[in-house]
Order: sequence, then C-alpha cells, then structure tokens
Amino acid sequence: MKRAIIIAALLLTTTLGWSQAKKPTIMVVPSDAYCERNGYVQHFKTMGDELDVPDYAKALKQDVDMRDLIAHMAEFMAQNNFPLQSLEQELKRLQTEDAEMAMMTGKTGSEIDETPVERLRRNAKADIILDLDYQIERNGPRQQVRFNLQAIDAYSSKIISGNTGLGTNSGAPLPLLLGEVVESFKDNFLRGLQNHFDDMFRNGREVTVTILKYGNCPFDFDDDIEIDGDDYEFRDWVEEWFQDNTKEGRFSTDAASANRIRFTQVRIPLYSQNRKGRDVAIDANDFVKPLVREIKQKLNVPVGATPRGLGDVWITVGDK
Amino acid sequence: MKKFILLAILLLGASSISALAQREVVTSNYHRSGLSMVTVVRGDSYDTVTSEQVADYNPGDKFDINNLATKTIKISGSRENQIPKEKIVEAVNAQPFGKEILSCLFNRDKNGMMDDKTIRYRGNYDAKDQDVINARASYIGADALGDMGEELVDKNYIAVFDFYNMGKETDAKGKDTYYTLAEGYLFKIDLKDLTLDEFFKQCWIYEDDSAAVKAQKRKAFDNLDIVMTPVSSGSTMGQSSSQAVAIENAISTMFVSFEFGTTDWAVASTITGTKPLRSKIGTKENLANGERFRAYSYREDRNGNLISVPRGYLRATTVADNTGMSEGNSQPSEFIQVSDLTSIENGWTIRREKDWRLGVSLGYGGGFRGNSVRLGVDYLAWARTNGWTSYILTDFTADFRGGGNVTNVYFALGYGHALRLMHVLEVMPYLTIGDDYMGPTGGGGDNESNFQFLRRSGFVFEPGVKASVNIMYPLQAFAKIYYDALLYPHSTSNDSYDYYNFMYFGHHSHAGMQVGLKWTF
Amino acid sequence: MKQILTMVFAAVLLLSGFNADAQNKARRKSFSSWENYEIAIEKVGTPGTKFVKVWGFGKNVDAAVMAAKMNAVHACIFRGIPASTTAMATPPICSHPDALTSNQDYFEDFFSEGGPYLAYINMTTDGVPSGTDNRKVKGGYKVAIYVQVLYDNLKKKLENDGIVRGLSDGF
Repeated sequence: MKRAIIIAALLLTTTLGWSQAKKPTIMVVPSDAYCERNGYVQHFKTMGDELDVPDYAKALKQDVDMRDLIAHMAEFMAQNNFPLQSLEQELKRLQTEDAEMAMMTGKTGSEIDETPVERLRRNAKADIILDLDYQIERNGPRQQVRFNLQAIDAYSSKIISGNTGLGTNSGAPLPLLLGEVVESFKDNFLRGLQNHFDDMFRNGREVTVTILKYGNCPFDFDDDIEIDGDDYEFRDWVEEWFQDNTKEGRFSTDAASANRIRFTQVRIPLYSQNRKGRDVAIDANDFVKPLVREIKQKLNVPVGATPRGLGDVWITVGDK
Repeated sequence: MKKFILLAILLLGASSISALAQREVVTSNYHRSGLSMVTVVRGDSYDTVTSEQVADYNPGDKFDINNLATKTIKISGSRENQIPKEKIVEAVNAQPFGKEILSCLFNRDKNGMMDDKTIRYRGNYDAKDQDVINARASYIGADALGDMGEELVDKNYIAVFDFYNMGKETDAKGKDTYYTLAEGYLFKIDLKDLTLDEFFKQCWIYEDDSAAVKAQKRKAFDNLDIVMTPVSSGSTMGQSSSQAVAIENAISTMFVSFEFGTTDWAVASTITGTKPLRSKIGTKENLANGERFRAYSYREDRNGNLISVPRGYLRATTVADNTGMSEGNSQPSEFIQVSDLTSIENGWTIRREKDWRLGVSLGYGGGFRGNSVRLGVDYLAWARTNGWTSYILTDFTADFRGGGNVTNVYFALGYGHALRLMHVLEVMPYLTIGDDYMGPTGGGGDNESNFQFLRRSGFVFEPGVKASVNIMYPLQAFAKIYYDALLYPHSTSNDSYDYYNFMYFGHHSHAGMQVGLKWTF
Repeated sequence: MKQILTMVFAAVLLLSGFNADAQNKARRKSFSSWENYEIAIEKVGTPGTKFVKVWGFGKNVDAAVMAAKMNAVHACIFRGIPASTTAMATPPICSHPDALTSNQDYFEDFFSEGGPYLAYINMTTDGVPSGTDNRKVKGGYKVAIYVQVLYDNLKKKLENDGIVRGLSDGF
C-alpha cells in the first residue's frame, strides 16, 4: 500500500510539474446521413450545382430525441471533465457573426472556399467532432435504437473512436431507450478517446500544416531561392525545418505544388520552452511560429499564420 | 411374506429404472400459462348448463384467463357416449383458436390494430422477485418487466370439455343425485416457425401505415397458420345433488388430471430459507396445503455438463398469499421435507410433482385369533410446518384362520395424527372405527340380505400407533401396534354376530401388530 | 546450550521464511493466473454501474460467492466484460497488459479479504445463489451471482490512486 501511495504521489507531482496541455474541445454534431434521412437539409445552389447541406439548427429544434441523446452525452463527458461544446449555442453565435465570419477572405481579396460545415468547424473550433447518427427501429410494440457514434479528429479527419450498435428491443418508453444506449457505449467510447489521448501524449499531437501561396508572393514554392547563401527549393527548405522540429521527425507531405504545400500527420510535441525556459503547452499555431518568423526574416515576404483550431494551421506566404 | 419381498424388489427396480431414464435437467424456470375453456356442445338440452358451468369455472390464480370469442364447439352425436378424440382435435383446429389467442393477447380490434397492454401486464405479473430486483439494477428499470410478457405467448392453452352419460338417479326417499362423465383435452398453441418478430413484421399495423399496407397486414393476419396441439387429456366424473355442482366437480378433477401431464404447469421455484423450508410461491401458483414437490440440486460432470440431482420430496404446509405484482420481497410459503436423509438446502430448485396424496399400504400381522392381511388407504388431509400431519384412514382387513381361508373381513374409517420425527420417519397415533363381518368364505351364503349382513357384524374400535420409515420414497415400510376393542350387541338370535362368534370364531378384544409396505400415489 | 538454541531458532526462522515465501509465491501465482471465470453482462446497468452475472468457485457456497464478487471487480479492472445482445462490451479500466504485475502490491491489498474492492460491488441476487446458479463441482461449489459493479466509482478510485490515467489527466 505504501508503495502505491509513493507511486501515486510521484505521479501526481510529475503531472503538476508539467504545464497542462491544451484540452481539446469536443462537440456533438448530427451526422450527414441522419440529417439527410430526416430531411434536415438546406438546399444551396452554387455555381449551377445543387448542394444539400445539413441543417443542424432545424435538426436540434425539431428532433427531441437527438437533443436527449446529446444531453445524455454532455452529462457523462462533463463527469469526465470534458464539458461538451454546445452545437446549438455555436449555431446561434454563428448566426449573429455570419456577415463578418461567413468567408475567410485574404486581405487583398484572395478567397479560400469552404463549405458551411467547414465554416462551422472552423468557428466552433472543436478539436474532436462526435458524429452522431441514430435510428429508431419499430418492431410491433417494441422499439430499438440503432446508433453510430464516431469521434473524429477535426483536423486529421481520423476516426479516433467508433461505436455502433443496437440498444434493447423493448416496449419501454423511448427516452429510457435513448439513455440506455448512451450508457451502453459510454465506456467503450471513452476508452477510444483515452487511447487517442495516450497516443498524443506519447507521440505528440497530430496536426496539419498547410502553406499557401498568395498572389503577392514573389516566388513559386518549387522555385529555387537563396537562403543563407545557399540555393534551396522553397518546399525542400520547409521540409527540412519539419524534419528538425517534429517529434522524431514524423510528418508526411501530402501535397506539394507551386502554390500549396500540405503537411499531414505532423507530430508536434505537446510542450515547448518559452523564452524564459518554462515548459508551455503548444498547439499547431504555436508550433509554426518559429517557421513563420524564419520565412519572414530569411525571405523578407509577408507571412501570416491562421489557426483553424488546435491542430490545423494555414500559413499564407505573400499576404497576411 | 415372499410376495411382499417380491413386490418390494419390483417397485425398487421400477423406481431405479425411472431414475436412469431421467436425463432432463430440471430447472426452476416457471412461467404463467394463459388459459381459456371451451365446451363441446351437441345441440341438446345439456348444452346450456355444461357451457355455463365451464364458462363460470375458476381454475385459480395460477392462470391468465384468455377471454376468447369462441367458447363452444359443436359436434353432433349422442350424449350417451364420448366424442372420439380425433373428432375433437379436428373440430378444435377447424376454429381459428390460435389467431383468437393472439388477438386476445394483443387486444386486436376489428380494424386490425393491436397493442401490448395485456402482454406487458402479464409480463409484470409473471415477474419473480429476482426479476424485479434485476430490473431495478438495469437502466430501463421496471419497464423491462413488461417485455418479459412476450415469453408467455407460446404458453397459452385451451381446455376442451366433453360431458357425456349425464343424468340423475332418485333414491327411495326421493333424493336426486346428478352425475356426469367427462373427457377433457388440453391443447397448446403451436406457433411453428412464426417468431414474434416475424408476426410483428407481417401483421402489426402502425397508425402511419398507408391504407394499402394496413389491408395487406390484415390479410397477413387472416392467413396465419397457427394450430393447437393436444398435450394432455383426462377422464373424470362428477356427482352431486345439484347438476351444476356435479359438472363443476368433473371440471375440477379434470384440472388435477391435466396437471399430471403438463410440464409447463409444474410450478418450480427455489428454496429461499431453511428451518422451516421456504420458497417464494403461493396462492398465485394455486399452491395448496399438502402439495408435493421434489427438490433438485445441481452438479457438473467431468465435461462440465450440468446435471440436476433429484433430492428429497417436500410438502407445502403454510401457503403464502402472494397474489399481485411482485415488489421484490414476496412472502414465502413453508414446506416440510418428507423424504431423503440429506436435508434440503438453501438455493435448491423445487418442482411440483403432483400426487393424489394417497398412501396405499399392505400389511401382514396378528389379528383377532389368526393372522390378517390389511389393505389400507390413507389420504393426506393437512400438513403442518411443525411436523404434524393429518390423515384420513380407511382400512380393509381380511383375517385368516387355519387353512388360509378368509374367515372374516373388516372395514374401518379413521383419523391419524402423525408426527414426522425425521425426514424419513413418521409416527402416527390413530383411531379407526370399523365393522367386522364374519364368514365370507364359510358359514354363510352368497345371497344374504343387507339386514343379515348387519346382524352378523360387530363394531371394532381401534386405537393404535403406526411408524413409517421410507425405504425409497414413495415406498415406505411400516409397523403398527394397536388394540382392537370389539363392540357388538349381545343377542340370542341365531344369525347374530354373537352367535357366530361364539360358535366359530371366538373374536374378542385384543392387541395386535402389523408390518407392511406403503406406496404413495 | 545457547548455541543450540540459537541454531534451532535460526532454523525455525529460516524454515518459516521459506514457508511464508512459498505461500506468497503460490498466492502470487494464483493472483497472476486469475483468469478462469465466466462473466456476462446482464443488461445495461443504472448510470455508472455494470450489471453482470458472474461465476465464482469456492469450497462452500459462501466462499464461492466471495470469489464471484472478486471476479466481477477483477473483470472490470483487467479483463473487461464482453458484449451481449443488449449491451456493448465494457473495456477494462486498466488496458495495459502489465497493469497487474506492475502494481501487484496495490492490487493484492485491494483484493485482500474484506479489502477495498468490496466497496465497488452491490450484490443483487435474491438470497443465496439458487437453481442452476448453484452447482456442486469437484472440490467445492460453483455459483453465479447477479451484481452491480460501481464501475465509474471504481475507475475514479484507480485514477485517484494513480494506477490509471484519467481522461483529462495531462490537460
């Protein structure tokens, strides 16, 4: 027992000694399939194409059962010190900020297209999206809840915990069956999240870094440019920086063209030292700050970094 | 004596063979059955009274009664004789009883709409304490109990009664006695391959179904092929000063008969306490004082197969009123163990093994002067937790004298108040009053009138003590000592008991003893 | 004489030491090979609990019931509970395969007779294990009981004792 106490005490002091990593934010979002099946969609016409986009506000307003499910999930996540971000509140906020936040526009007019969902994700800044789908199957006097819950890392789009299954086939009232289904998958789901966090602490946070060339940039990314007296292809030089700064050099170059370089599965350390030598938790934006500084200094071009949450950052070269 | 030994060996052999044949694993699973009763009518004047009596008969709390639309089936034929079984089976399956049962269970209305209110009620009503406790521990809670009602769907029966040879006799004093014979058949619903899931899929109409779908589902219901399979039958008779009561008696005995052949109806439970033995069954299962159960424990063989081990028998003593929904703390009934040296333990399964509560004993011993053979039948009238048991006794004794002729016979009726000292040992003080009749194989004729018979008989008043020990239940060995007090009128008449006794037998009050074997049915 | 006494004393000490060591070894062996039991989820339990039917073996029924209780907690910590038609699988609280061996002292204390594990279990069997849940097997009894394991509380306890990481630990 003594040993256990000592171990516990040691662990506790170690934990306290560290700076705390930034806690990922989590939000439940009804799945596309659910919205489509139940007619919670908005029809858009963009450039002649018809587009169906989930109408979350309508879903949350009209489907009491979905609200029930989300409330049950919010309850157990709060118990685990991860209060859920409220999709409903985010939607309301978005509505008021729509005019200014609808599109992300470069200062000189360059545009980056994004869908309303991406817009939501960007604005809500949830790091983990819980994509929830459920169906109520009728079988005579009985009902059964079929559910599908996926926890998706909003930036790497990886499924970090997936749970599908069926609740009890019963004639009991539906709110009970919905609550039961959440209680049923809860621990498995939390285990998936835990594994993800464990992996993050062990191998670093997985982020995505996208470098975009704006119109004002004097060079293409595959051009040779002179840095510190040597000639480098810009993208090779950036890759080298990633090799030096990622955790165990782990990242992959997803796309590299004249105008765009995208690094995915970039494993960044959770902590880094600030100027005073203190350990501080960092996110994707913090991680690329030295790179931004270096590009700015060495290439003398305007460079901007726009975080899209904790794990995704866009570096814009040629504009801010 | 040799004959007794031979009989004992035969009985022992028979019971061990039956033990070998018993490979079924007996469990404590018991669920309530649904029941409806149907009368065979023949188009005569008895139709009304028989069908009314059947409709009014209450088979007890043990059954969930299905109020079916069809209450009679008509088969033409004389009331003198019973209808052959084949005809009854044919007539039953000519009616849509299966569909009627489903309609009743799911409250199907004329539009084909159904609900699960009855099923959920029955599920709740069938729930045992453990089910209630389990439900409380589950997320869904008590609502889960209603779901259990679906398990009862294939436990629905119809009992068909055919009354025949009905009539009445009037004695010299003008008193009427009504009588009837009855044949009964028990049918069980057979859903064949139709699962409830499939039934719901095919026939359950939702309010938002289109008119076409509704029509299709109604048609699917009409096309269901659900037969009733005969599972048990019985023959009984009823007799009373009232015709209605005579019919009721016949029905009542029929149910006892059905109980013997219907496994679903064998109430099973587990022992929840010892000293005294207790189990959570009672009036809700039609438990009656003196009813016999058998205990089972369990073991696993080398391969891990489960084997139920038959243990001692026990009888109900104090019956608890457990009618109503279980709330997890039902009152138990009490029992007393009546066989096996090993005491019945907490947690063992008990299952009803219906018997007629009759013990038939055959004894041999010293009578008035010569030896006597006694055939006794005792009926277990009441059993108590403290070990006292009441018996109604009847006794038929044949006395032998000299060359083995039966010189006199003796009929007696009495009461015994037995105390169970051990599971296997019972000691019973008793008292019988009987009639000693002399000379059936000598000294008299075959055509003697009742009057002469009475004049040649004398009363015997017999107090005694009988000790019975189980050899292999239901076989017991017994020994009894008694005193026969002969009471007869002193008369000078030639054909009086006194005269014959004086002339031939010399019977007088004396003590005697007997040993023998008893079999409980 | 003194020497002899000292030698005898030393020998006794040595022997008892061996004996205790052997006992300890046997106990540890049985502790680490503690896998042979059956557990099945009965239904989804009330919030924060797992409602299971679990088997235990013992020389008598009481001992078997105690073993079954321990098994239920053991399963929640180390083995997890398999899914059934009505409930999803429950993962073990300690998912690391070395969790038991690396915290052996802690768990030996946790599962000791009358140990802390009992606070996380609530037996819901009505009376003693009955019917087919109570079986005589070679060397004793095998019984099944219905229990609620206070899974969330148990998890919190192990998190607080530093045996496992909490979901929000490190953030």
